[in-house]
Amino acid sequence: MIAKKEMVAMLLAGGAGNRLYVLTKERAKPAVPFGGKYKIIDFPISNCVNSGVDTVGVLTQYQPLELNTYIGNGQPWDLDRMYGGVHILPPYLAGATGDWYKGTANAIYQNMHFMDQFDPEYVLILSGDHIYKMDYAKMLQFHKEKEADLTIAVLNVTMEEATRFGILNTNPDSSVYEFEEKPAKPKSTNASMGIYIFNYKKLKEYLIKDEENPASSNDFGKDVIPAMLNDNCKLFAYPFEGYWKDVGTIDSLWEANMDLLNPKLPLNLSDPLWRIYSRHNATTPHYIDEKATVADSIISSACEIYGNVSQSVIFANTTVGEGTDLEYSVIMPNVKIGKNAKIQYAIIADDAVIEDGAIIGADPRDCKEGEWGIAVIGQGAVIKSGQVVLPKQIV
Amino acid sequence: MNAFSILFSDTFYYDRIGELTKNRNLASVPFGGRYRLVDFVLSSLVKAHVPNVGVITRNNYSSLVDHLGSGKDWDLDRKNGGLKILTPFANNMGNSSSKNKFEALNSVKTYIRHNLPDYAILADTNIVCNIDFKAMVQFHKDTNADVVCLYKKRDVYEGSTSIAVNENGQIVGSRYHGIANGEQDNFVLKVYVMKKDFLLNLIDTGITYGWEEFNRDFITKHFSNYRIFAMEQKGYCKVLRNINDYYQASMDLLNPEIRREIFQSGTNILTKIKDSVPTMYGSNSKVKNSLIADGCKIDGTVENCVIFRGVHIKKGAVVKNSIIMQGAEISENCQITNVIADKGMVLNEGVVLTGSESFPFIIAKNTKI
Repeated sequence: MIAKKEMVAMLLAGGAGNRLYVLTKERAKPAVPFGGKYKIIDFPISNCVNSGVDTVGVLTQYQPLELNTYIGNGQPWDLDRMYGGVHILPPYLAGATGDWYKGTANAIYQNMHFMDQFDPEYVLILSGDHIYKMDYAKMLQFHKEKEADLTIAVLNVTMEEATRFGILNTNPDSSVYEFEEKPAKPKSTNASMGIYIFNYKKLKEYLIKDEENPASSNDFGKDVIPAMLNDNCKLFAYPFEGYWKDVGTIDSLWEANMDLLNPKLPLNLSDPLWRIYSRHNATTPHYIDEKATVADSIISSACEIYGNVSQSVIFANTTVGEGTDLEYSVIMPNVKIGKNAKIQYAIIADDAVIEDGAIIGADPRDCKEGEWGIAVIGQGAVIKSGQVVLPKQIV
Repeated sequence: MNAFSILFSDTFYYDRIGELTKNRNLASVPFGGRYRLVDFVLSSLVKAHVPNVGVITRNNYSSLVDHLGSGKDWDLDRKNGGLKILTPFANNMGNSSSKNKFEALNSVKTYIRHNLPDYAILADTNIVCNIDFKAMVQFHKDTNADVVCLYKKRDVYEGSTSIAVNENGQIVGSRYHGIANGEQDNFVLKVYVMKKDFLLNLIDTGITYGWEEFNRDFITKHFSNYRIFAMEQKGYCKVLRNINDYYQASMDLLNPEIRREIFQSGTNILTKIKDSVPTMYGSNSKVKNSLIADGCKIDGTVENCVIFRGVHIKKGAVVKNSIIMQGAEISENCQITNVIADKGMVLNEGVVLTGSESFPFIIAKNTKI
């Protein structure tokens, strides 16, 4: 017997994350390290736990190994539960049927049996590439008060940004009358955050319908939501206030990391009432040497800093050699940086080795217009002594 | 490994680390930025795949229980065996808690008897080093010894008993030093390996004759009646017997070689895991030669320090040659030199605290100044 759950969360973590290039060559986007000791997926999972949602299905497809290992039995998030807890849901074969996940809606469709086990009233759909803190319990409360079939969390963006999002046009009571995907001329600035609460019965009905439609691309934004609007289902937009960042591109990932260095940021990671949990190892404290200077930076455990660090986020177990200048950069775990290197405006992925005197990235003020960008070094890459990696270059 | 272990959370001796052991035992004294002393020997046991570890407690053990919990963070939360905290209990022999190691062992004989492995490892928990328990058990087999212990060459201090070891490693002599004469000699580190049955008999013998201490009453007196062998513990190894040892060992961690030896020589030092954020450095931070744990906010000057988790050092504050434990708040323009501050210290603006290198100033837990 399995206890009934009021709401089950389904986290879409199978995307390839092509716009992160080398950073997602060997892992899914939600497994990309963030903020000195987290992975992106820690945010939605911690939000679930903090909102009292203790049953989370994580749908994986693209390069799932690192993610699977990371999630494990869910213990770091307190999700190793007798009933519920975290479940990794890969696509599977079922007799003659079974297939890869064809789209977001199809992925959920293929896991209806999983959700059925918990007999939920509501299903929360999340994606694994956003950095934010949100109380889904409040959103559920809103959903119930409005007696909605579907509630979509929305963020108030600028007119300019609105052209890059799915925009929900609403009546004064927050009910949705129109949904436009990336409109050229947006009518409003309520951008969909890709966070949905469905009444499970309605969700099931529309997933089955959607699956029967051969013309559908099986996507929530493109197919399911328009179909529900078309049938006059009750759709509501739930306004979210606070810090929210899509980290699907190199620039936005870098920016979100840099945001953490701003002490006034409305994303407080050390709030004891809303912790962001992550899988930790017992690593030593970090060491700052006599010759080092460190300012305006985040440094994680087991690092050894002998060089000069400013405006940077450094993950665990990284060494920065003597005489090296590091600024405005994100250094992921286990990176070895030699002596007298110069690293500016760069993202360096896990296990990379930067030999002595390498030069990576540049200050935008020193570049011609259009030539500047974040330099990116992939997982395990080796930058030879004295090698130069230009801004925008991806190794 | 075919061995179980019993750890002593106190040495049942005069080893106290000032205020730090007022409300906790030696085993749970915070050390090295995020550890407790027990983590070092416990991690060596885990590395040697010792499946069962019992920790004998006497008093003040709530902090240790809180730290060790179920043993999960040391991978000792097992269906069979794993970590067990052996709390004192009143029995039909009377209801006072054990006064020495033999009484303590006598009170946990059931635990020893029910342990399936053949070898017993006994160890104190105030030792900072990596111990190769596999080699110790192998040495025990190779030499057909009754007991194998570790020894370390170090300075003689007043009232200590050194041992003489022959070329096979057998202990063949002992000598009491009434005064510290500036020389070095071999001293037993309180880590022992023996067969389980031998231990059970030895406990009975010890209780019969009123023995109190393993080294003093057994090893250094009865080496001629038993086959007692000793292995040299090479490399960095520090027994923390008092506040100066503690201060010195903490400062030793700032030496890259010693740090490498303890933390990166193959034994992963495990400890209780907490979800703290990474450490944040502000625009005014000036940090030199310091070990800094997660969750700190540092905007002042820090030199030659060990800073534990969640310490806030504000702008203009200067902290030198100090050990600042978890959760301290050091406000603007404070000046702290040669201080050991227990958890939760709060300093208002402009406080000046100065100890001396040979006599560090100790601040008790949760002190507000």
